Amino acid sequence: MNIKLENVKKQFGDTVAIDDISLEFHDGKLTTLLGPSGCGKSTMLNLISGILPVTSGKIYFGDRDVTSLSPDKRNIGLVFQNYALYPHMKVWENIAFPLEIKKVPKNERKERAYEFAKLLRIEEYFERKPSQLSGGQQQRVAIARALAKEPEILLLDEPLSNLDARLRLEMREEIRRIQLETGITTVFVTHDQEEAMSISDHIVLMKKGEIQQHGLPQELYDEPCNVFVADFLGNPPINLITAVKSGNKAVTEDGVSFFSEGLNNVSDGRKLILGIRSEAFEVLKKDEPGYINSTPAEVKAVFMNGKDVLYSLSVGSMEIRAGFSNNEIYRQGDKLKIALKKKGVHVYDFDTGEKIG
Amino acid sequence: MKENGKTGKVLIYAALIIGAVMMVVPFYWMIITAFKTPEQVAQMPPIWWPTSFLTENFEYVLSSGEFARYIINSIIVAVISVSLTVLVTILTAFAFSRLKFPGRDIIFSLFLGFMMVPFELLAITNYVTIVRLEWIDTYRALTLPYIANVLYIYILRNFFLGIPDSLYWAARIDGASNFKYLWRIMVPISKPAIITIVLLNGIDSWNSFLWPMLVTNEPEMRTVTVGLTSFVQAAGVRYERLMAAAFIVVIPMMILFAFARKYIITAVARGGIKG
Amino acid sequence: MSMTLTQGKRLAKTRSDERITARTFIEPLIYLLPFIVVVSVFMVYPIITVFLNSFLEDYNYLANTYSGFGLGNYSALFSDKEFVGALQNTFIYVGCVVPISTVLSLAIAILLNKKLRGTSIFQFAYFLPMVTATIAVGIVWKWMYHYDYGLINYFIQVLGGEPVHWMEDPIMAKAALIIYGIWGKLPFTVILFLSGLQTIDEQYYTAAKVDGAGSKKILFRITIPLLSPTIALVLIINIINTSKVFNEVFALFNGKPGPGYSLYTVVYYIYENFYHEMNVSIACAAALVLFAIVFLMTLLQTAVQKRWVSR
Repeated sequence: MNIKLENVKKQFGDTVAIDDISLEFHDGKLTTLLGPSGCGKSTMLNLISGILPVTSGKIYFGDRDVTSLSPDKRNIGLVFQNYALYPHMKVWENIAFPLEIKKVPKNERKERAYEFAKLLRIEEYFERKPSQLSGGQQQRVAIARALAKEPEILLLDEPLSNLDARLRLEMREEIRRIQLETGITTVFVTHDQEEAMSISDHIVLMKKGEIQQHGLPQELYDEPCNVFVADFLGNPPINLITAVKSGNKAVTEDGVSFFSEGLNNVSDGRKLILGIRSEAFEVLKKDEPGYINSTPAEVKAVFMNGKDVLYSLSVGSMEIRAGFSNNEIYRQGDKLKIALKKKGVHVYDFDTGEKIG
Repeated sequence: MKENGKTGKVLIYAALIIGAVMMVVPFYWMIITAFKTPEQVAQMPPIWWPTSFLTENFEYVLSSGEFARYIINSIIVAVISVSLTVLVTILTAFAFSRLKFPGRDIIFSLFLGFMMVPFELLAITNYVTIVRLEWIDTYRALTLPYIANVLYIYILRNFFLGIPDSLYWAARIDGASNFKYLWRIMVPISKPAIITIVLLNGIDSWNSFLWPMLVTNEPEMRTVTVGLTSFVQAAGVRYERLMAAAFIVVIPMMILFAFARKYIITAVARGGIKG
Repeated sequence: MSMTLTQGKRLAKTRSDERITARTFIEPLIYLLPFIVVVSVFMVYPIITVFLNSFLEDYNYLANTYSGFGLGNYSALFSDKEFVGALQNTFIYVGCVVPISTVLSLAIAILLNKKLRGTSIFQFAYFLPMVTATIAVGIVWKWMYHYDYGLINYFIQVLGGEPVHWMEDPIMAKAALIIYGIWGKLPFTVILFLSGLQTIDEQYYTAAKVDGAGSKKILFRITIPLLSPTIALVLIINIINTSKVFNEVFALFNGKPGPGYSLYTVVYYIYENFYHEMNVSIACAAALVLFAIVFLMTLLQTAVQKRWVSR
């Protein structure tokens, strides 16, 4: 089931929360609405669910115009951030509630609820009440309930925010597994970019009611179209350096210069923001090509996380995060010469933040 | 004033016990007298513990007067009143909390203001209305006028307002209509508040006197409180019978109180604070 | 701006972005129908009619005729000795019962709050009058006030005094009613004070004790001031409720307002006028006068309280 938004606008009094957005969520895919708080991602989800009515524009599920339908008529499943389980009902009654509304006979409801409980691996809590379950288990019940009526669309509103780190990892994989197994079109809202990167088929990155960029996760990572996107995705965050094109280099205020092929099309004197991924640095030794153009840096701090090493380098008056793919390990105080690789360097106009070239 | 010392504690206990005894003495006296013979009743100094527990007085009250009828009436009125009140309270509290319409909260505050108007004032016209409708001596008159109680609606509405929005939307998305949401989700969750209302209303209904007196003429429609006052005539100086009758009026509430004490006290506190 | 509905508990009255159609009103209307019907007929209509009726002259409610519109009823009221007497009686009653019961209740509440053993028994004892019908208990009191065989005279004699004609003497009857009234008011008032007391943080007491304050000082400088909102509330509620005294009188004196009409209260006046004498408009006027007086008193009370509590 496809979801199509056509020129959708949402206004609260004088505030525009969603400004004329047209977007498509593809059948069977997990699309993530990503962004900082206040960007409009939850609002958009609530427009799709019907909890909020649109100010203007249309929403289609497949061929069906659902714009004026209330949530109970849209045949969707929604998982809330705080689970919203019915406290006075048992787990199976919670899951079976949508079926109860559809007047499915009790035995059948209980059976089907059991199937979903098994899918979510909570069948042993079948007879318990929500208050007797942990956060993660309640989350699973919420998901089971959302799926129980076998909707065409599954919506999840920051479902993992209330879980601890470990559980979050586990649950996001679970959600992905279930989504793939059932093939249901899913819209997932989160502010956690790592979460989005790891499980999405498609990411829609939003800021202040507008879509900044959308596409495959890797696309957004490799080709961020503006500073915001570059900054939002990626762990550790991308290094953002203000500089001016001078000659064939980008020169910062305190005279540090960087050389990169991506600068070639930039006119002289233009003010820029260089976005450099931490993995886009390499250490050059004296005789290696490009050494002349390399930038001096000093290791200020070393961070090891068991898998790789991240350095905090001081370059001029700036602090830069870098990780190197050579097998050397540097120590605090080491002086290096660093250069930029081809991949992972992005050039943005200082005023607009948009990509140059 | 030494309070933490032993003497202090003893004094406090003594004061409280004396007070408690003074509160309870009328009830004790009523119960004791109900079991006495006419001769024992007139004895001075008074008998504190009857020699035998006669049931004669109770038998008299229940059989001779229409007291049995009165009890049935009170029960019927209480049951009807509580059921209808709870129904109306639920529907109204729902409309004023979960449903949206312009002016909702202002209108509700207006009704809250109405709570200030004393029942005695309203009773004048309400009596006339009952007469005009020819509802005198009907259960309708005894129950219907007071099934819309703003205090109870206020209590339940507050409870409803505390239920998170997300639960409402979860239910709507599950396909539930507003009506289903109210009865399948909100009401079960609101059991404590509803029990409060049932208790307060039940006690109030059983104990009410002025209104039933106004709207009943026929003896067979009297409630137990009104019947008691008519019984005073019949009993004359037979105080032991009178006490037995009073006892019958009072005992159901005493038993209820013994069992539901905590609930009732919190109910009164909640209700009183808003009053 | 995004609305986190999932976290929000408060529901907007109407969202400003939703179009308001006729349908917005239909659904609430259906739910509110029983309420609207009952309230209109038995609350709104009476308020209006009582108000209007009080101005009708020579009103005959059965025939629904009247001769004029004016303040005739009110002037009749105040020149009626019975009404003025009723007002006086009511004032005396309120003026005695409210202060005494408030002070007593406060004392009891403070004592009960001290977390002693046997709370449940004490609670049962002190709150029993609240759940029992005034009319029934009043009859018991009537018996206790009996000149020859009543408990109260018995105790007075035991203590060496002379028995009192509680039920027969107009002045002693007033005292009898007042005593009974106080007794009946205690439970509810104690409960209110108890909940008020429980809102006072332990910390204040601990801090005061550390500062070396004795119990008396704590009581007057901490407990009572912190309790002042509750005290104000209690006073208002009690004034309103005691001014409507009726059941107690009816019970004690078997439907008659005391020996020689000595306990004729305003509500009694209203009752007799509209129920027995069919003077509906006079009764309405009297009811309004009572309501107005009580209302003014509570306004006065709130004004005084504002200045006192904010200290």
